[in-house]
Amino acid sequence: MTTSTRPLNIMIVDDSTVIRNRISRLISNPQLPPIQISGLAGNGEIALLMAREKRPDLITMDLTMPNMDGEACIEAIAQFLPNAKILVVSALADKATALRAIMKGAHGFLHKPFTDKELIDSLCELID
Amino acid sequence: MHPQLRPQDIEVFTETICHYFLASTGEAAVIRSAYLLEQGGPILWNEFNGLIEVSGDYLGSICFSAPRALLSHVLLKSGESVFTDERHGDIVGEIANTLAGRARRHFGEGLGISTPQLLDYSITTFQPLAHSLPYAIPFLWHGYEANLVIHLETA
Amino acid sequence: MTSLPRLSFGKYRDLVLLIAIFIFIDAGVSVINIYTSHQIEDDTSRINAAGEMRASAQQLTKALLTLDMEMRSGAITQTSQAEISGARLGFLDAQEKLQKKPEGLLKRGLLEPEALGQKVSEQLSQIANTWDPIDREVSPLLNSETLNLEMVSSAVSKAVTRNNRLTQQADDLGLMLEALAQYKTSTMRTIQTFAIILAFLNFLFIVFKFIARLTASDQAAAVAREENERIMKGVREGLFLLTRDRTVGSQRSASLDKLFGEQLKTGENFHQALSRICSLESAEAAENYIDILFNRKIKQVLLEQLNPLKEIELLSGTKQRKGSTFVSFEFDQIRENDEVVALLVSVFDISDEVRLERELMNAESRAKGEIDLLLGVLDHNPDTVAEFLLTARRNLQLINQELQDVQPVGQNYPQLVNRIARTLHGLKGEAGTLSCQSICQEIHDFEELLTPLRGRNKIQGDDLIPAAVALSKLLSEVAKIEVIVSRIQQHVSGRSGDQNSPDPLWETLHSIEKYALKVAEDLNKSVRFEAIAPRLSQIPSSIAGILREAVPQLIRNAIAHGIEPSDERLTIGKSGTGLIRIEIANEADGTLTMTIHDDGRGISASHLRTVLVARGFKTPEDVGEMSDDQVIAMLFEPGFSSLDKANLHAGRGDGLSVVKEALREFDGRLRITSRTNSHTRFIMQFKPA
Repeated sequence: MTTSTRPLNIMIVDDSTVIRNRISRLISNPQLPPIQISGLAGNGEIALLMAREKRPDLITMDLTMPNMDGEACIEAIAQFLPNAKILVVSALADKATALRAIMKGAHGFLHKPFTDKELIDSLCELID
Repeated sequence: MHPQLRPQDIEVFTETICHYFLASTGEAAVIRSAYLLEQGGPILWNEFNGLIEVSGDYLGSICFSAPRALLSHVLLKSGESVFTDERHGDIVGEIANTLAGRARRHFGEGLGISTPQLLDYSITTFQPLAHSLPYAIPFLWHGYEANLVIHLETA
Repeated sequence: MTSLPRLSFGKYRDLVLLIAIFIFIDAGVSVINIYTSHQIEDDTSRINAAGEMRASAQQLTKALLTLDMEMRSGAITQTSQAEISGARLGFLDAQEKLQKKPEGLLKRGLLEPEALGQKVSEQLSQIANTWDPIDREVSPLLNSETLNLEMVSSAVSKAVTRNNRLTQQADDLGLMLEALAQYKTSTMRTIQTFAIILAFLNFLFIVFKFIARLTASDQAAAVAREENERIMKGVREGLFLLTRDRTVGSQRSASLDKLFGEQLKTGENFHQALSRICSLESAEAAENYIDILFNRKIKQVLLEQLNPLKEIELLSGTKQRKGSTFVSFEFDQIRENDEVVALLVSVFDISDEVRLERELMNAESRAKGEIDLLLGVLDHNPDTVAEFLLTARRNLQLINQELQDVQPVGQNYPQLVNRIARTLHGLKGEAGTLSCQSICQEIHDFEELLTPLRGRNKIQGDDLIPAAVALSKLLSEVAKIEVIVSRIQQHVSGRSGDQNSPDPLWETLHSIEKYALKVAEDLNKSVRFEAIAPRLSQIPSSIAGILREAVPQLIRNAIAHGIEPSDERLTIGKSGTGLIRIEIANEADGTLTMTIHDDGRGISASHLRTVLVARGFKTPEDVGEMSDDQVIAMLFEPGFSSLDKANLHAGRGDGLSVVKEALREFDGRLRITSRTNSHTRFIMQFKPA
């Protein structure tokens, strides 16, 4: 997948600014291949618009968000970006919802709160 | 069902908060001794309060309350350079969300949990419950004190 | 796909090579056979040619003689001439055939020995030498125009003289050729035999090598199978492979059968099996989860947190033993060529962990027979109980305040724990005297959870969470009894306003008696209770306080430590029933004296020394230097108890420190007198205020 020298594009979707910023910061970790941020979204609706526009390679996605929740957003994005890798990052303890999100097209799940290492490891696995 | 909260029910929440601080800042929070909030006393002291209301198998609420300075420091630790009310509220909201998730996992699906409410003012009273007093658990982190108030009993 | 055949060829390379050699040898043998048959044909024709040569020579001689005869008789000569020509051509033809050999010989150089070949050529040239003169004479005869008798006679004489020699020479040649052919045939046979033996050896080699290899690989497979079986038998987890079509693979660990028995069979659809062994909800979630895991784009490490088959309860009927079974399934993707071809499923039995948790839960929520526990309260003056409840509430609130205020530095937490323990112990005594059994039980549980914290230098805030919970339970217990008591108070005050109130001191002493008898009963000891007290219109506050806080401890101590079991008392000549006596005396100067007397084994300083050393409170040197009084004073240190195990009534070591506290509070003095196997007396004196 990572054949070209082109950096990967990531879109970060979370209603918490702090979480968005934290993930933004962590993706420059040297363990990860070069990743650049193509978009930050605070809810599903904006995420969907942004995904159409920027066509990111990677997406981190919260599930409980205002306007459009993560599940619906994942389903929509997977339609037109089948190759985008989506990591669900959520505090949700309801496994069934998370599983549904995976079935709708996400590739992994990370439980909130997470450590820096946990996020980096998950992204590594996602990209690899 | 458990007629009253057991220590492990409370520990679920204290562990969640300790884990939150450890995971997001790399520094653990220290729990101070828990105590009971007597009726009529002042309840929550801090500027930022994340409240989850609980219904279903249990009734009551869980509230995480923290002073602005503590939250600013957490923001700093997580690499933030903007310290607006919104950012501070974000953290309290995240913690409340995490507590809600953990509560559902611990008490089972029979627990109804409201979306966390963010209250940026001090709460002065609690809706009293019939059989029990709220537990207050102070946390120390970096010299600041935050509080967790657990007020639950079986429906 | 292409790699597979290459792989197997590599494995059988030796074998293929051997078979190729075998085929090559076989082909060689065939070539030799064909070659030999050509040779034999060739040799036969050569032998025949030699024969022909001989016959032609004979025929020529005969024809010449006939010609000669015909010429003399003037008969027609054409027939003879033709015969001569035929014989001559026959000879020349045969000669040519034989002389052509050298080219062929080159090719057969290997088979034909030089010497024999040489001899054949020599013989041929000799034949030529014999023949050529004849030929020279005969050739002109063939021309009819020039034919004359003289020429014929000369030819006849030449032919006749040389005919014998020629015949002989041709015979010899024939024999030579036969010998040569024979020699060659035998050589060929030797080569053939050798090649066949070689092929046979090669065949044997192939067979043995192949069999050896098959046997070796069979053995290796058997060893692997055995090891596999051992692993599957020995491993504690249930292990099996889940195939892409969701069936249970054939390799499975023995634990799997133990867990599921017939419920999870090899070759069965996993989802169907799952819906039988666990709840429909879990089974459905698992179906989705497993579908996701078979997606090659999904990595199981990114989904571990979503596994729905963690800590699930098996439906009854699947279990092989008593009680419910809890298991956790773990899945590992097995990938080949980037496709998930199967899932390795490990099943862990976590019943014990879960059961332990449940048991703890049950133990806490066990039915306590609350009504029975509450009834005891009714035997006591509701005012006294109400007063106690108020004190209790106040004390508990103080504890709560301390929990709130304590700073988590230094020894604050350990000291707080000790203070809480002391307060609780005092309350327990009072609650006991007033038959508030439910409160007693809560306090006992509270103390029980503090015990492990005591003696620890490092206590953290979360260690005290159970304390807050216990405090909450204790407060709600107090509140419950408050409700009952206030109802009784209403009832009592409503019915009788100005009834002669009984002597309050005697009433208190009566409560204490009941308490003493209850303690004795719980500890399986037999006691009687005596009280000597003046009639007092009002109990002085010091005496009231001491009666409430200190006396229950002293009585408990006296019964637990002092009074011996009945059989022990009888063997040393005492009455089987022990005596507990309270004396309250009013001195002339207003000093009040209260004495708690028991006729038990007395306080033994030497026994206490042993205990102090054994518990690690003091070193043997320390106790050696201490006086008996100092040793006995240690009884009043917090945490000291000479009993090994805590029960409701003794052994936690707080009793006498509570007495010390109470005496300090009411400004009393304490004296202890004791004689081994005779008595112990605690004498408390209070100066008038």
